[in-house]
Amino acid sequence: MSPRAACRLTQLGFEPVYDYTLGKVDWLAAGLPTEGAAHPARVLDALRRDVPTCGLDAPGGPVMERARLAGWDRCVVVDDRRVVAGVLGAERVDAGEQRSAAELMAPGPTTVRAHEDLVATRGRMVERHVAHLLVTTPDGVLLGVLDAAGDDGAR
Amino acid sequence: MSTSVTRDEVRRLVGAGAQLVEVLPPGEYDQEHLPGAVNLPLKSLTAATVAALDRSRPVIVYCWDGL
Repeated sequence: MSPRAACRLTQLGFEPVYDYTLGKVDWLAAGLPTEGAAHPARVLDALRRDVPTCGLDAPGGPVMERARLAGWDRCVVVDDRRVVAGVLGAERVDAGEQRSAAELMAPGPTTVRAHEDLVATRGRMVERHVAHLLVTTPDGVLLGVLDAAGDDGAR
Repeated sequence: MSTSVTRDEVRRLVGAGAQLVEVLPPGEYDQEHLPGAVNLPLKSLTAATVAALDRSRPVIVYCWDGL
């Protein structure tokens, strides 16, 4: 929407016009202040940022072992810009596995945006039996994980 | 022709006097917007409505995530 608005303002004679393409999602994800009335809870409000991550070339077994020790049954595989490539699940990786995360991961996990309505998103997760969803920026950078069950300790 | 800017550039430009314009519908602006932003929804961008903006200062537009 903002690129079209920038184009329109340029047509109307404004100069210079800048487009903050990543917009409110990026601003909110950075925890910067905002103004306005109260808003409904968003995915961002329940985001868990401590999900383990690893690089594409990391050996799967040790990575998964570190995740298990931290209480997780998954590890998000990201590139050097923290863009999500896939997910390593405990059920797919033995502790001694030395193949890379890129070889072992489930690629292309479903993601959700940080500004989406929290209650509605969790409702859809429950309906579809999805326990966890990755939360990313529009350009795929990992922000964290949303649990369907809320803050009940389930991972 | 507009230029895409990052969050840090937005903060710097606003500090230097740029105008922030949220182009989302009023309900979404009312709930939450960037500090100091005005609301000019995309569908309402006409010569008349943009008269509220200062033509001598840069303009930064934003929505949720560019889409």
